[in-house]
Amino acid sequence: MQHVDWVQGLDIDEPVYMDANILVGSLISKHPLYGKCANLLGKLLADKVEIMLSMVSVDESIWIIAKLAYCEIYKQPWKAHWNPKLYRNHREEIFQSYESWINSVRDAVEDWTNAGAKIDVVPKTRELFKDVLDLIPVYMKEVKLTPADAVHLALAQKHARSFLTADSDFDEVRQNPPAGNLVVVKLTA
Amino acid sequence: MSIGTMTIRSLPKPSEVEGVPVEFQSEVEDVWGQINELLRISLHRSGFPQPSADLIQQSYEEMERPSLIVVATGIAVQAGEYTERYGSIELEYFREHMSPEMFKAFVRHIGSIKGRPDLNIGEFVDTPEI
Repeated sequence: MQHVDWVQGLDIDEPVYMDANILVGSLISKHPLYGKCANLLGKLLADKVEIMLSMVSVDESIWIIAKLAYCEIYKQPWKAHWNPKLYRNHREEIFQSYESWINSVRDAVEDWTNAGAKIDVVPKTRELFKDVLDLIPVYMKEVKLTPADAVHLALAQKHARSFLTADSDFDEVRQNPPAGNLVVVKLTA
Repeated sequence: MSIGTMTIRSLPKPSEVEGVPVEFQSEVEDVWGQINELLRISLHRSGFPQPSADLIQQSYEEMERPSLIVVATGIAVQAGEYTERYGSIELEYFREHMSPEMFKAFVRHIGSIKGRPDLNIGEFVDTPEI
C-alpha cells in the first residue's frame, strides 16, 4: 500500500473509493478544500471513472452536514461539541431549517448517477464483505485506525486501486504501509 | 322592455400584438400592492412570520438586477454566489469534457451548501458513537 499527497495532474487509477470528507468537501462552498475536492470530483466524473461509496461514507457525510446545520442555527463554532444526544434534541430544528442540506448527498449522488456517472456501493458481494470483515481488525491494530476508518481502508483495499481522502488519520499508512496495491491519495490545504 | 343590441368587438389578431410592450397601469399595480400587503398582514397574524415590506422591496430590486449568471441550462446564480461556488472551478474544462447532462448535474450540486470557513476537513467527526 502507498500513501501520496494529491497534486494537480496526478494520475489516479480506477476504481476509486471516496472518503466522506471528499464528497462533503465538494458540496460545501466555504470549505477550505472545496476547490480541490470539487475539481477532483469533476475530473473523475468527466473521465467516467468508477467511483465507490459505502454507507459509512454516506453516514459520515450526513452526520457532518447535520452538525453544520446545528452550528448555523445556534451560531456555534465548528469545534463545538456534537454528539447523538445533541442531534436528537435539535433534530426538528435542523430539518425545519436545513432539510435540503440533509438531502444534498442523496440528491447529488442520484443526479450524477442519472447523468451517467459510474457510482457504485461497496461491499459488492458476500465474499468481498467477508474479506472486508477480516481486514478491519488488522487495520485497527496495525495502522492504529478507529473502527470506521478501518472499514474505509478495508473497503478501499478490497474494491479499489485508489482511496481518496483528506483525513490525516490515514497518514500512518505512509509510515507503516500494510500489504496491498491500494494507493491512498490525500488532499491537503 | 327593450333589449339593446349586443355587439362583439373584434379581437386583435395574434400578429398584431406580437412585440407590443405590455404596460401595467399604476392603478392596477396599486391594487396588487394592497392585496399583497393584506395577505402579508393576515399571514403574520396567523403565526407565519413575514418579511418586512422593505425587505420584499429589496428582494424585488435584487431580482430585477441583471446580475444573474447562467452556469448551465436552467441554472443561474447571482454574481456573488457564482464567484463563491464556481470561481475556483475549471468550468470551461468540464463544459468541454462532460456531457451537457453531466455538466448540469455537476454544477447544480457542487458548493450547494454554503458552510463556514472554520470548518476543518481534517477534524471531521467519525460515525457517531452510540
